[in-house]
Amino acid sequence: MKNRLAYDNIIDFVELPKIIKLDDNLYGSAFFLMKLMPARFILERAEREGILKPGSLVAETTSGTFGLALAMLCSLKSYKFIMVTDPVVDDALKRRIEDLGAVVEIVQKPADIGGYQRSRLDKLVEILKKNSGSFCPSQYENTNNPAGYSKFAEILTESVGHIDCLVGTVGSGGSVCGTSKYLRQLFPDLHVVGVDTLGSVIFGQPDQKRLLRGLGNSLWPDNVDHTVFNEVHWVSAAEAFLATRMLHRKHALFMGGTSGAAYMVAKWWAEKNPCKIVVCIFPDEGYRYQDTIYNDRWLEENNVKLDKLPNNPIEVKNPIDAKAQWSCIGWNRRDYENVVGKHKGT
Amino acid sequence: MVDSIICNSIKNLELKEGRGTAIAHHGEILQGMFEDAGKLFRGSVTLPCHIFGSQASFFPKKNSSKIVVDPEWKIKSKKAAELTLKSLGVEDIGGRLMIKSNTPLRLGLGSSTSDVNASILSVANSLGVVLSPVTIASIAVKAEIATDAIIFGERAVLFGHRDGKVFEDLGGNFPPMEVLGFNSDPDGEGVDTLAFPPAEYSWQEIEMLRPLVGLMRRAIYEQNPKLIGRVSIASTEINQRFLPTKNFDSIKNIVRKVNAAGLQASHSGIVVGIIFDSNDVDKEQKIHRSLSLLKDIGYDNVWRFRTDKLHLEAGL
Repeated sequence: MKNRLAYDNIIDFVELPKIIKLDDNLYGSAFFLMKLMPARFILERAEREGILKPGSLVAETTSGTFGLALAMLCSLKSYKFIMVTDPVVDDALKRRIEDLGAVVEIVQKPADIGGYQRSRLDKLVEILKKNSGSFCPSQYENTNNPAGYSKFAEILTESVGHIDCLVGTVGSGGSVCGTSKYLRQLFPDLHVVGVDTLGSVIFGQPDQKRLLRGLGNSLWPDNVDHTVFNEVHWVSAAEAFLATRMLHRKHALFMGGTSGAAYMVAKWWAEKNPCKIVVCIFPDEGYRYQDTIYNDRWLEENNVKLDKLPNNPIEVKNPIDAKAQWSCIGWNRRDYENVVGKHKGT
Repeated sequence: MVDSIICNSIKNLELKEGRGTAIAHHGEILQGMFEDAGKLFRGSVTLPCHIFGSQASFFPKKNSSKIVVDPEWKIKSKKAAELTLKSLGVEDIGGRLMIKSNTPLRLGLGSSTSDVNASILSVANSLGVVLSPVTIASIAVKAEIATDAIIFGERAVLFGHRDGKVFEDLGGNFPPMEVLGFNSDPDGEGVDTLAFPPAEYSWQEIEMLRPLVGLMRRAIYEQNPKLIGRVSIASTEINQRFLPTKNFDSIKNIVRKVNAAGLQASHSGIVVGIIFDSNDVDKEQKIHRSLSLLKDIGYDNVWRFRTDKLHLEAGL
């Protein structure tokens, strides 16, 4: 029996997920805040390499949980932190990040070409230029983002043993691509299922406004290695929200919307492959979504209230054929051009 | 560190001939640089192997401080005997240390560690003292710089081979496995394990090793040889950069073809083992087929042993 000692800090306690058995062959890994893992790894590598010095400024463009993770870490490690975001940032998150001592810089105008994403990047470059010795974690390009998931792979092999299939949502590419590479050392035949949302360009959908946040992207992050994926699913906001609620009702797991999206796909895959062991990633908790996903009135007002999930996804041959509801494609570890038939962004 | 009661009792003791036996190991299942709470350490999990080993006899002589070892070149064993006497607070005893071993040299079977452990046990035995495995390992590492966990027998431990201590008890014994072992480079010169420079692991490799330790813990918990096989193949893959295993791909192919539990290879030597689950009903058939496939690629001197019956065989 391991001695239970006091933790040195909150990160040590919440960094690793709880691995929970949901069915005979289905395990959920429930994170408090998954992004703490890559954020900590990126900062600690930068410290060791001498790029990040005590008391320096950390700046990043983000509107989600990566910003919260950085704010927590920077507060504990006494770095200054500026988070560049746009008006979409939710106010409660902004206040929490500011309470941790960070500065939240909201760009007010989208750039003529490239929209808010572009104007946020421009602002970030300006801040980094102005502050010599500042550091940008760059979660979309920094290879230490996927590399930071080794401890996750360790707890999975220790708690689950043999793993046949990993299901997770894709946003920066860090969690699914990083974890898969670590696990495939031991299980070379690991089947990797990426879950994206309709209207995200990552796997070849046309860019659209998306209600489901925390997965998907309007750009192609370098950290998404398309050849990792055996299978890709696109999930609508309404489906993900209902699945999030079902995860709560059935397993008392109070998680965010990306968890619901992953759960819906993983549950379906596990039922279809009863002899295979499936692990599913739940990236954050439900508190941020109490007024939205967990609020029926909000769901109705936004026209995303469903009563029932589809039994199966619609199988498509080309990513552009995925429309309006849960769809999937056999990606078969091909690169983007091979599946989509054209280069990214053309 | 020994308290005065033991020292006094040693002084009053009739000295007698002491005997000690120790098994060898069959190279590593897992080896690397591991991180725990911000500290890095070199560690390994070795596969115990009872068909090879050493037997030491110590003939003590009073009023002497000189130890003569036979064969003369086993100076690490001589040093181990001296360190054992010293750690027991004995100053005026020397004697003759005789070592017999059937462990082939320069393969990575831990022949030197086996000699050293047997020597420590024989000296302690001649003084009527029983030493704990922890103490024996700490004397062994002083005698030979890098040592292995053979004193822990079938217990699976992550052992700091350069610190001479257990970093993590993996929670149980090895599951029952059978191993076909062979020298992967019979025409080569072998490797002087201790002269072999310690691997310089990159930080990427240190991260890659984490899920291997996780699965190692699980393998012991499940008593699952197949998971041990996954760990040892992955660890050997990482080690190829430091010491390539001869015919690695061909041997992996045999493992795949016969559906064995896995393969393990010495990470600082040339011995290789194909692992089978002792409880696999098709085990004999698989072993038979492996022997024939190994012969096809030039390996006809193959030995066989189990991991759950660790008595060093008599008649050494």
